[in-house]
Amino acid sequence: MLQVRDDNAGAFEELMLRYQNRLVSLLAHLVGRRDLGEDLAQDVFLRVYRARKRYVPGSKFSTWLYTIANNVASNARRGMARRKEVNLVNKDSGEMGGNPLDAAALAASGLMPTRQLDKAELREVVKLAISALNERQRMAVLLNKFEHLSYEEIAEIMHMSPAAIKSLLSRARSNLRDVLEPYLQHGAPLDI
Amino acid sequence: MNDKTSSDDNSQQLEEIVAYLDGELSPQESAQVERRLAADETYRQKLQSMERAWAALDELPAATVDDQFSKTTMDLVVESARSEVEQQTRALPVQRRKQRLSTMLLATAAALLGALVFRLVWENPNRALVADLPVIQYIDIYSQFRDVEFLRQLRQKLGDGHWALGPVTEELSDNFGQFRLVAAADKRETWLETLAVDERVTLRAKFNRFRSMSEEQQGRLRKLHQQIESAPDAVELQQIMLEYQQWLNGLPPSEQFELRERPLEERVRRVVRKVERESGDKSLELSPDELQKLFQAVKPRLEGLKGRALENLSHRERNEFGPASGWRGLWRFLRRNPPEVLELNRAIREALPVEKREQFEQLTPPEQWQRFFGWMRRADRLKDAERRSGDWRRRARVSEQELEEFFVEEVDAATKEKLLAMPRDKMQQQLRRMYGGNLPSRDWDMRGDEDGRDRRRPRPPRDFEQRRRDRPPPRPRYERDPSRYREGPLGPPPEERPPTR
Repeated sequence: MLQVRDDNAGAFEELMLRYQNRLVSLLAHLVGRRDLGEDLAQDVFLRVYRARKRYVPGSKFSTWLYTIANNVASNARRGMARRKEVNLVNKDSGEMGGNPLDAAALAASGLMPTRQLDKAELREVVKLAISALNERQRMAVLLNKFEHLSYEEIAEIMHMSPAAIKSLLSRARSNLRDVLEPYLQHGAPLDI
Repeated sequence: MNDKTSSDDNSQQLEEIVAYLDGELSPQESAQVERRLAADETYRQKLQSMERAWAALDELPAATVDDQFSKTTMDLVVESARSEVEQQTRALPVQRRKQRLSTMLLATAAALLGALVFRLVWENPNRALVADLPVIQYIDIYSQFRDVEFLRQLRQKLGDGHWALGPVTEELSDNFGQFRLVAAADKRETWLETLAVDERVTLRAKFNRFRSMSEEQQGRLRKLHQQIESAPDAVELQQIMLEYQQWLNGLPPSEQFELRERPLEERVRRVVRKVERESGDKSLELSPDELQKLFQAVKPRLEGLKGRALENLSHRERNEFGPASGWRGLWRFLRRNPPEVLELNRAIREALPVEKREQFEQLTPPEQWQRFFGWMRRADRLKDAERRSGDWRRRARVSEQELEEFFVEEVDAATKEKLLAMPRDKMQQQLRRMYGGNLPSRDWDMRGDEDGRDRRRPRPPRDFEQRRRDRPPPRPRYERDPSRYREGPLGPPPEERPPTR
């Protein structure tokens, strides 16, 4: 990133290649659409380039990158809500609203937790479980799980305290467990 | 009110469990969680359910973008750079605007300016960093003990030779060289300039950690460093300190915490005992041929013992000690029958190679049994693999690339996590076994390694749901020894009790 700051185009391309897949994955899961995730990822890289002179050596690049990504995703979701492109369920961070996910999943795919799920079905259930989390929980879960960031790093990205992140992740994972447990007990075995 | 209190407790427990799984607890808190996991079945089940749901997220598809994405992104960036140059050109005075400033010149100027700014920032380092550099750079090890006497006693008991398992002598020698550079006041700034960016980031994190300590703690670390530096045996103390650091790095944080909390004498005793055991463990490993020989020699005796063990057990005991309980069940039987223990012990010693027999005899009896059962478990694994593959030696010829592909494509997420938690050589060993023999996960049932001792990080107890599924169904009443059959209900089979640690 220091080379990018010094206007090294090759270094920027290298950085982009290193992070593009992860960034697109993160944003796609955040906004629920792959195409929008790609657009937002490009927006993030553009902002990284434009803000390159403000990069402070010593701070972790990934923290900076995901802070920008978080802002971009939040803006996108606000825009989508205004255009009513997504059905945002009004949840506070502690409730799943009577677990609407189970009903939605069962209705949508005819899945019954009493029979074994194949991989594709399990994937859909997991996607639905993630999408049922609120925005902050989802962001924290994705950063923790797939980017392996610490609570402190996630806190820096999301402008919260590490203690708040700890609590947020606990509630998010508890919500995920409540939704997924029936499918994991009766569905595709995840142990060998 | 009770419901609210219970709900708050539950939330707090979940928070603790999640933070433990994420490695975000302090060593002290981790040790507390692990103690609770050992004692509380409900708590364990909560952890396991959280782990299962978390592992399920691995099913989420990962995006892979194509070249078109990269190309269009770079196009956008280039367009943005062009706009910047145009803006900067427009900002210049009119007469200079007429001169042709190429994008290259501007970019070069910007690059130079950037480099200059960077150098200015680093050429004015914090004086406190330089002054306390040895303590800051080695804050991890200086935080592990309180006085020089600890190092002296370690040196006295373990000697000056290389004793920490794992790191090679050259690495320790390099570490010592670096330590001397950092300790020398006139060489610190030069050393700082040689650091790579990621090393500077690490150093900055250590500096922040040092600054967050109280004045008293900072003073204590400075004093400790000074005492070591000014000691007549400074070189030897520094070498043993670095060796101790290398050795500690192999222990999980909770064990490091336990050691730190011990009084000096007891800490030295524990460290020495552990190091001696590790050294002994290495020399007492049996080769596959030696294992085979031992197994063949004791097999008839073992078969007889198992038979007698099963005959004389009640229904409840048979469920507990029966075939599904494996070597542990046999050990429980042996403990109750000293003559059998002596006989078997003699057979084991006779079957060992001479040089290994002498070392074996120096172990305490519990250590001998631990070692023996570790060997037997390993022999089991080798036999299983041989039966499946036909040639377990072929596994040794599997290439790294094949193993890597196998890991990525065929190993499921939960097993990957378990493998990645192991030391590298153990992980490779296990992977080879799985690849060659396509072994199931029952290896995870065993808490010990081939030497019977569990060197892995303390982990929550194993998956009891999996054990329940693996356990054979209890024999119907009418198949048991009729002489033991009684009128009336004998009651339901006992619930499986989790093993005690």
